[in-house]
Amino acid sequence: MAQTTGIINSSSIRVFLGTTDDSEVVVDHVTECSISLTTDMRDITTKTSGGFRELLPGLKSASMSVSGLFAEDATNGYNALVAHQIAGEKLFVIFTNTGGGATANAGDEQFDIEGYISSLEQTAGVEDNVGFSMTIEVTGTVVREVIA
Amino acid sequence: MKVTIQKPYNKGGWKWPAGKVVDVSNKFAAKLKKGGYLDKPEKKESKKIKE
Repeated sequence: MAQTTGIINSSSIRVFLGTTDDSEVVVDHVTECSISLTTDMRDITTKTSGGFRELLPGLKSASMSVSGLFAEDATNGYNALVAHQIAGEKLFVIFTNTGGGATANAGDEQFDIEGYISSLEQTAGVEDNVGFSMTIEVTGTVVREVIA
Repeated sequence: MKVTIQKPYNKGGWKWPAGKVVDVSNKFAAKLKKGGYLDKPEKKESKKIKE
């Protein structure tokens, strides 16, 4: 398939994860997801900088957040995620565009990362959906690749 | 992509019976396909012996 043209519908972005590489399953009942890359800056300002700060890129890091609804029988939902966190398991994560269907759209780009759950919260109000929110801290390289 | 598991899969933390529909990454789908987990089992036709 060709690269998607135009502005992408955010509902098309899905998160797949698992405990072994290339064995990722979609996280069920997700309502929101985001990924954030940060580059720390090294200050190299000196007396000869003319009064303006000078910078060079330093350490790069990334984290991903996922929020969703709780379902006891989800294939890859809160119950699986909390088990991964308690066990301290490394997760292999794909942050991808599935387009209008359920298949990642070949030709588009996706993130392929590894990381650990640093926070996982389950929320339950009154007469409302039980939900969860999770943060994954990325370890190692952040790979941005073309979907094959 | 959504795939239907055709024979029990018990690897990498996943434990699925045949017939389970799962939404997996493209790479995982290729891996399952290669392992024969998405192929429908061949039906063995019983031969009728004519006497």
